Amino acid sequence: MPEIFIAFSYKDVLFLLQGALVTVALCAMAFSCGLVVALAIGLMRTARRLRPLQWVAGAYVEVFRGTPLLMQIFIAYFGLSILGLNLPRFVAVSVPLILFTGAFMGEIVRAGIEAIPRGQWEAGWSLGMTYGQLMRYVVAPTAVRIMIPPSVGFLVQLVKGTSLAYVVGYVELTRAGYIISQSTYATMLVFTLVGAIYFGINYPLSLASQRLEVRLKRHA
Amino acid sequence: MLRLEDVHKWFGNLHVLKGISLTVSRGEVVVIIGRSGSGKSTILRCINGLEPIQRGWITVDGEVVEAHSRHVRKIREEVGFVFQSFNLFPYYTARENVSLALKIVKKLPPAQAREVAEEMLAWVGLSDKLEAYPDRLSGGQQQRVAIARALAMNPKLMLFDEVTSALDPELVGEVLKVMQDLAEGGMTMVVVTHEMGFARRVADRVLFIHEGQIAEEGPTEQVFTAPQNENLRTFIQSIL
Repeated sequence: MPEIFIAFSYKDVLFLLQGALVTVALCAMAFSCGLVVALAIGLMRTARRLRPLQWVAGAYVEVFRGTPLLMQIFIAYFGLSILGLNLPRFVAVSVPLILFTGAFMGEIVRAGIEAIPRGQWEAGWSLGMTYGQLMRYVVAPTAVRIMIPPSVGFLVQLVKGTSLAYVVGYVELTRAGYIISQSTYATMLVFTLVGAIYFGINYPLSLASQRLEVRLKRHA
Repeated sequence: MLRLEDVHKWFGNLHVLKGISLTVSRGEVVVIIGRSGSGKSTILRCINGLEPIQRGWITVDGEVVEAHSRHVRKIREEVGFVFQSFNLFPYYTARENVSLALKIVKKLPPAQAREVAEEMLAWVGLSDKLEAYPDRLSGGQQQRVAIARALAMNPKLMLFDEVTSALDPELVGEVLKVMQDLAEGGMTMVVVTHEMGFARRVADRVLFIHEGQIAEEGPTEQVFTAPQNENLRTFIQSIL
C-alpha cells in the first residue's frame, strides 16, 4: 500500500462527511432564508411607483453584491465584537450568508419579474386583478420558470461559498479537509475527496434543475 | 354609459390626446378609425385606466375612472378589454384563462367558474379547445379565448384595441364574426380597428381621430359616403 494511505482511516472520512453536513446545512439555511429576503428585494426593485423602496433595495444589492462575502463574515463576527456586539458564531455566519444570498437572488427575482411582458400585466389589470393577485397568478408562473437556471447557478456558488465560514471557526467541508490534511499529510488525497464531495452535492442539484426545467417547459 | 370630457394626455412632452369628448350610450357600437399614432388606442387605454390622463375626466356608468386608484379595479370588472396581442396567460389552458379572474376577482366557486368558462368558450366556438394551452392555438383562436375571457366577467362595456391587426388574413373573419354577434346581442362596444368593412357593417357611429383630436364624427354611412374632413377623405381613399 502506498505510504500516503497509511495514516488515513475511515474516521477521517467520517470527519469529512460531518463537514459536508455542516456545508449542506449552512447552505440550506442561507438559501431558504435568503430567498425570503430576495423576494422582498425583487418586489421592491420592481415597484415602479415607489421610488424610495427601489432606491433602498438597489443600495442593499450593490453593497452586498459588491463586497466580498469573506469580508462580510469578518465584519459580522470580529467587526461587531470590537463595537461590543458579540454575535454567536452561528449568527455571525448565517446573517452575512443570508444577506449575500438575498442580494444575488433578489436580482434574479427582479429579472424574472421584469421578463414578464407588459401585456400580461395589462391583461390582469383589465380583468380587475390586484397587484398581489397578478403577482401570484400571472407573473409568478412565468417568472419562476425564468428564475430556475440562474438560481441553481447561484446555489452551486453558494455551496462552495460556505467554505468561507471557516474564518469564524466553523468546521465545514473545506475546513475539515484542511484539518485532516494537516494531521495525515495526505493532502492530495484529502482534497481530491473534498472536491468529490462538493461535486456530489452540486451535481444532483444541476440534474434536478435540468429535469425541473424540462418538466415546466411543456407549455412555454 | 361612457363619457369622456375634454380628455388630454401627454407622454412626456408629446401631447397625444388633445381634448377628446365622447359619449357612448348603452348598446351603442362606436368604431374609432385613424392613422397609426393618431391616439386611437390611447383613448381605449385611458378608458380602462391603463394610462393616466392629465386633464379632463372619464366616467363609466357615472363612476370616474382614475388610473392607479383602488377604485379603478371595480370599474375594470365592468369593462372588458381585448388587446391586439391577445395577452393570454401562457401557463393556463383556454378554460383556465377564462375562469381565473372569475375565481380570484369575482370569487365564484371553482365549479361555477368552470361552468361559465365552458359556456363562454362555447359561445366563441372553442368547445373543443378547453384544455389547450395558448401555444397550441392559432392567433384567431387565441383572440377568441381573449374575448371569452373578457366576456366572462359580464362587462357592461367592451373595448377592442385593434384585435385583428396581429392576425393572419384568413383568421380575421372568425374574430370579426364573434364581435359582430356580440354587437348584435346589444353589447356596448368601443372598437379601434382598421377593418373598414367591419366598421361599416357593425358600427352605429364612427369617429375619425387625427393628431389626437376627433376630426370627424357621425353615423357610419355618413362618415364613409360623405366625409367632410380632408384628412378623413385621404385616409378612406388610402385604405379602400
